Amino acid sequence: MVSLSEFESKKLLHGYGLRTTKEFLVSSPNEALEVAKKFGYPVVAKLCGEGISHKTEINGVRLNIQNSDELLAAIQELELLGDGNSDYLIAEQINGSREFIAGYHIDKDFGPVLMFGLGGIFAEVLADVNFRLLPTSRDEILTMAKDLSGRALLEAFRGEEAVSIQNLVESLEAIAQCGLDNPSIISIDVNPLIISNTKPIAVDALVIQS
Amino acid sequence: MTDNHYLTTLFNPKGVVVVGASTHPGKFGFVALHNILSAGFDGPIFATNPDKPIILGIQAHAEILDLPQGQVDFAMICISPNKIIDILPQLAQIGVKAAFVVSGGFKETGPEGEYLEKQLVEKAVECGIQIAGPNGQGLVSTPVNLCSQIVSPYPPEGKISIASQSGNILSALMNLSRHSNVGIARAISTGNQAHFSVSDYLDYFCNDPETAVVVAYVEGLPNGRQFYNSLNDTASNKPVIVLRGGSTKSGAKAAASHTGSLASDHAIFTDMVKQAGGYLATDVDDAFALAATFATQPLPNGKNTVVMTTAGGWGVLTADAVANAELELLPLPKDLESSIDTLLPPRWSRNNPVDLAGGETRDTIPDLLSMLLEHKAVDSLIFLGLGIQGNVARSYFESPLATDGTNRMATFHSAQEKRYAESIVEAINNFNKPVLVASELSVADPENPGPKSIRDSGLMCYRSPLVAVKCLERLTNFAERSTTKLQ
Repeated sequence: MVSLSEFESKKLLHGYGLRTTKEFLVSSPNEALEVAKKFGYPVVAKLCGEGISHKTEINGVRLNIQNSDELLAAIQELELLGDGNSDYLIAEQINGSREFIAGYHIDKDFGPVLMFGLGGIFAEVLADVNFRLLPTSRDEILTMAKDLSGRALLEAFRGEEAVSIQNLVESLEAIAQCGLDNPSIISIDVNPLIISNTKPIAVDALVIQS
Repeated sequence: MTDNHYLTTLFNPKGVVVVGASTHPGKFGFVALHNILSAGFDGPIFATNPDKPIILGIQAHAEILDLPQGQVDFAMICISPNKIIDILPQLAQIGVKAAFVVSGGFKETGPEGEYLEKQLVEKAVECGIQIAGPNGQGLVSTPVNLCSQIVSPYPPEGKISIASQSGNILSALMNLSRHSNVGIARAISTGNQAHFSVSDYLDYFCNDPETAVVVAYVEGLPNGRQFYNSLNDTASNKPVIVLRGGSTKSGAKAAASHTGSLASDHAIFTDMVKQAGGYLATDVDDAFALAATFATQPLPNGKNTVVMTTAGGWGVLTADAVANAELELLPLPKDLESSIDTLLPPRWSRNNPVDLAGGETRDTIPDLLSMLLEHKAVDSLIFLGLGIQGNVARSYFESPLATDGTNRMATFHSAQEKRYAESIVEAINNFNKPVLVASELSVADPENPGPKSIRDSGLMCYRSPLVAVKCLERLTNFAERSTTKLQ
């Protein structure tokens, strides 16, 4: 099993039409500052490299960085966590109160499967996820989304407008297509898929190849 | 065409032989022959046994080749596993095209058995014999009065067909069929599925004109994708109910990804059944009740449900259940309310549930039932309270205080119950709308003339209105899907 880095994973998925965060891979604090200047603060800094597929577990993510001082401090912290060869991902900060999770994997019994469900910190406890065997129709993907117990989160929520269902379905189709087109891919995880201005955007992603 | 299906002979043989028939009533080879004879199979019945005994009036033959040519196309095989391969060519020679192997001692016993099973299938294919089992209980096919199984029961004739990876669950479903008098068309215990799996049987049931509803019980699926494909095809043609055993076995997912850890085997299985258009049953009772609903009720035109009741509390619980289901508890249209006023005293509920509040006289129930079903806004009806008068009748009949008066009343009550039941059956036929009758008396007092008459007519009397609502919900869902497909 080979994991693509977060950066490569998102680039691949972006090629299939999935919206992903704007981001640059940098290897030094100076480059990081340059990118952040271009994006405008706040930004996100993450450790990015081979073998760093569980960034949150090693605390390799710094959110909501407000200025260059905070950015330099963040990079310094991340450097200590890395193996010395890691790069840093500087990305735009995405705000949205709704987090979903989407994925693809080859099931041992049923073959390629698409998944969509509630994300965020309670995702594994609630396990509110649905599956569809692939390939499948756009209607089935829609049903899969609307069959969630937490389907109310797709409606207007806490002052945010309803999720664009068309965009959501297209995002899921992009993930499915990416998996189906690349037989070497055994799983794709997009977590979180945050709703920002009604549209889903992949904030983190991990592609694993056999 | 079903006639050309590779499993046609298995389910519609013209003549059968029990290979390894026994004189001992405790042996499979006896039970199988007994069941085939007692169910009155339509064609010639033969038996083999090296000692040539007469068993249950049948003269057994010592050798398969002693049997007449071309009279037997199905063999029920009950001999030791290691002898079966040698007799397959002889069976083929006399014209056998399909066989069920009851005998165990194959894959379920280990690598040697697995090897033997592989050889068995190879030989069967070579001989042109479609081989079911091994290590299964057998099969039932009521259109040809075939009860070729080593267990009871033989169910009444009907339209439900079952393929089950467990013989025991198959028997349970057939016991429920006997209990409820909603019948079975085909039923097969798949055994080790050496050659044919549940998918093959689904494929046969899909175009079988005798089958209106399919039930599949599965545990392990050697080929999940194939099962999905068969389920998808069959479910696009007729309702398919899936019951699964082993749903809590946690899928040992190697993938460290979140997708992997959230993807318990059963979560994917559940969604797979939904995606294919099947209905996942929660247990054996649920599976049978739903199958019986599909087999006996017309499809509703929509979700608008009326609850008609002479039992207040059950009416309330049922209204809650309807409201919680993908059904509509129809607010009574004004014209319907006015019509009901002409039949009932003013104290009736004036709402849905239509609660008669004890206002029924001799003809009220049949008349009200027709009135409700005739209204175009009403798509289906749940009928509660059947058997209450029959309950009184029973206590009068059994009473130590019985008088001519109580006996007369009890007889009247019993006749009324029967009449209500008959009017329900008639109404279903007249208006072509589903009417689901529910009463705990169907279990608590099966001989009560209300539930009994429903049962005698071949309809299901649900043990609880909540069961009826769950079944109606899925019947309505199926009807909607079928309509969408036609458009």
